[in-house]
Amino acid sequence: MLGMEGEVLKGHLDMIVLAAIEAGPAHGYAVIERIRSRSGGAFDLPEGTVYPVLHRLEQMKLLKSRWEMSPAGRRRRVYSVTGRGTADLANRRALWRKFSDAIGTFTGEARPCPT
Amino acid sequence: MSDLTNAYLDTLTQELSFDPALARRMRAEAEDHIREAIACDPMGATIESERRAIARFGAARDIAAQCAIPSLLKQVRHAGASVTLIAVGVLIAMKSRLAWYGAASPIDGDDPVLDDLRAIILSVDRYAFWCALLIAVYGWTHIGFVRASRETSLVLRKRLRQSLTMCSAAAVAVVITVASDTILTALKLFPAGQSAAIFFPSLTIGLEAALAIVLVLRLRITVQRLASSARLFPA
Repeated sequence: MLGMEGEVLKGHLDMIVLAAIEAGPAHGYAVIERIRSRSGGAFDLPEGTVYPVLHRLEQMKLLKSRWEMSPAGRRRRVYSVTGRGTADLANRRALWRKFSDAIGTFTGEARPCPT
Repeated sequence: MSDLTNAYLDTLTQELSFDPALARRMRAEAEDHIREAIACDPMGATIESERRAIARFGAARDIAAQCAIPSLLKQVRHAGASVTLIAVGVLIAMKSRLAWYGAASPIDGDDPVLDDLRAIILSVDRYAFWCALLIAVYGWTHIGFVRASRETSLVLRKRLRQSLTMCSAAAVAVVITVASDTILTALKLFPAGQSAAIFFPSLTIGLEAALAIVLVLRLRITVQRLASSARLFPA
């Protein structure tokens, strides 16, 4: 189960996964590795929880996927971001910046927005 | 691959039994993931690295619970669509049979003695059909416009149950309609005996019965899957 930090992270998992795959097509394990390395180990989720997110994003047509053969000869599902996914990620980023700025200003941890 | 990974994958498949296609896909992805994690483990492919990879993947039940709501939403939406479309299919079969009676009129089996019985069955038929259609459309829209991301799991599960109950009620009404149609057609065709003239009405009744059977079987599967997923969400 996820702790409180995990619950906070879960709310932004769609954006995190989209951003990880935006860098290039990836299978589930590579997505998890990218999330872990790009967050400096801060985002450390149970690895299996990324798959329901990948499936949901694919259903929403923000991702597409295809089966490929791994170098070891295993069948694996590789995900890539669709045009719709790129646009959605841009919206989510803009919304996140706005929210983050507002929280920062509110708690006194960031410079107020220039007027 | 060792028994440990196989046992974990079996548990995951079992927990995802509410959606066999999803279970197959998740199993393949989980297997690849765990093998990759073992291959990347600095300690090499040992039983400990396998244990770690499985532990890092997470509890099978938690993963299944995460998958359950979107999958069941899709299945209940399909069930709602099926009841509505099958009710419309029954209406088309019914109307085409009546049109055939009007156009060909080769059968005159309306025995005046049975008029009262026929009138009662006809009323049951009509009310049951309109009930089926209205309940099915309401059940379908009740779940059709739900945004999974905006509702809690508890609310969504309640709506899934409500919607499926409505679909089941609509399916019962469809079965009553088809049974009434069968009796009415039998009363009309029986005096004609075995002749070529009964072919088309019999064909439409057969079609209605087949649609009703498909509907009941389909709903039964959806009800069973929704019930089996309840264990993923402790009260």
